[in-house]
Amino acid sequence: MEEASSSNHVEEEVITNRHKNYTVNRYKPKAEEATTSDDPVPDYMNLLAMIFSMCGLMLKIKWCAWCAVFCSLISFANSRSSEDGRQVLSSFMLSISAVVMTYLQNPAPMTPPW
Amino acid sequence: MKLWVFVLILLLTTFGVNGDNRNQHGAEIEDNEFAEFEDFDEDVVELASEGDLPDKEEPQEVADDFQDLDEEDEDAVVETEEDEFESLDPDEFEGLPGDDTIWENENKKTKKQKKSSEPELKIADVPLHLRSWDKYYIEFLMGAGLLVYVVNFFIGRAKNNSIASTWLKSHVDHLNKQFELVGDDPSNKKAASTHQFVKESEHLYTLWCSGRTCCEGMLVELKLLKRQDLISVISDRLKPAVDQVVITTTLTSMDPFVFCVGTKKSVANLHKNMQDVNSFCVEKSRGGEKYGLSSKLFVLSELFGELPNAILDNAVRKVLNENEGVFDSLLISDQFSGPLLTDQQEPTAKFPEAEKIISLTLNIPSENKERKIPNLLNLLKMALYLTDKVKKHRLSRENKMKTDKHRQEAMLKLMKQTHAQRQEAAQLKKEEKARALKDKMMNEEDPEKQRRMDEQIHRRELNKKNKKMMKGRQFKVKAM
Repeated sequence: MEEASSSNHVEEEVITNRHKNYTVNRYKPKAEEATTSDDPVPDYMNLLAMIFSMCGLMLKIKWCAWCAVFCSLISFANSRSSEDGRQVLSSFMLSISAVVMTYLQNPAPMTPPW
Repeated sequence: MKLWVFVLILLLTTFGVNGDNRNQHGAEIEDNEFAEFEDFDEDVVELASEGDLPDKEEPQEVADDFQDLDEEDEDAVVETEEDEFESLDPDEFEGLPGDDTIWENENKKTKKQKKSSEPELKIADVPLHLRSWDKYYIEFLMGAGLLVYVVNFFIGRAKNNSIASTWLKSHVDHLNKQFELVGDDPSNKKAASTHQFVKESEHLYTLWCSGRTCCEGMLVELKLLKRQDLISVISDRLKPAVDQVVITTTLTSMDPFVFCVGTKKSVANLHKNMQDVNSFCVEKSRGGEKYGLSSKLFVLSELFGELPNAILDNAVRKVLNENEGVFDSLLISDQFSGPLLTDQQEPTAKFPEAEKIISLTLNIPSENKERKIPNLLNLLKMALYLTDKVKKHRLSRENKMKTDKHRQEAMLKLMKQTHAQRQEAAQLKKEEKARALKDKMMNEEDPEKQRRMDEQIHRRELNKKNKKMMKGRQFKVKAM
């Protein structure tokens, strides 16, 4: 018969089965610090997206706004499921708003540097 | 040409009529400048008066000439004194306001004519963005790039999903036989088998299995390529990478040793990056052919001798040789504590928490995945076989003493490294204690008790000072 352990903690529920002589342990996900150190790409891309959005909005630079959209997309694609989706979404919306605002202020097309 | 002739005639007539020395600006002109003209006129008069007979004809001829001239130049204008200054060199006054020279008059006339002849055209102000879409080619390119990225995201995600589901289909039956709990969702309050991967991200899937003898649990991690990210796809094309399956079994107990076998690159990587392998596997790696394995594989162990032969028995060797292309590395360790600390990270005062694990890393073939993934089942079975074997394996007395010694040395090394940290921590503790005692003394209401506590503190401080002085004297004596 399965018995709940004395700790009865949600994350570390241990069920002891005396007849079969083994314990059933719950899954303990890795700490957030470990996961961020494994793959820092989504965090860096999120930060870059914010910076490019600000540059596009404040300095009215169109290519910055477009880069912000790309960075936020890359951050979304590489994000982990455990992360808060609202942050990624807000970053994406900010980059879209940067593009829209720059074109409203100056509808002229982008010119290449060459 | 006609203009020039007309001007010349004007000049001549004005100088002939007016003998004044004034010009348009009122500047005085010397008589000598026009002396020639005056003398000439007098000579003409004298010549006319000297001879009558012959002169009678001449004045008549002259008069006729003049009449002819008059007849010819009926249009000639006799300039008055007011026009005299205008007949001067027009170049001096060209372009100046009030310049009423002939050229300016002509220009003004032509301009007026032009203005009157040209119709006034009104060009409608069309906004820039409605003029032509051709100029927005960069924006179209950006939009196309975004679209391509989004399409690649969905395709890559679907592909990774299919790889994970293919692996699960081929392995879940065996896992159900071996474990009570197959697939655990941490968000669930109760432990119930989900038989599904937990999606950590679009390229990372995990499956936790527990409820088996000899092990606390087994974690299967599918570390796939980032197919959902277009930039990663491009970088993977440039620098080839493979999908990996990492099967990590956590043991309940085992004898103390660290052992690993794998390809040359993976063994070197383990030695460089893993704390336990770096600390305990000091000796150089040996070729796999010595242990009946392929020459591409290398063995790195804390103890060479009986241990590799005990681990790599016939069954294990057979499976490894059959799946040479898929096998990457195998690590068995009782001191697994994760990756090596980098220079930026400081070592903690405490010894890192060590786990007893068996970690098997496999490379999923890049081609014909659906056919080749089920072949990985043999390697999963080998991992579970090794779990039972390692749990039961006992080191010889000599080997056990060696490994215990290694662990003690590692502990001492860590203590030395963290000595300064621990000293600082101890100092802080002492200061905290003294501060607490002083606060207690200050807050004491009873003056007698307060005095006694103050004396106690004072005595302690004196004792400390004396001890320091005694130590100093001892060192001096020793030095002498």
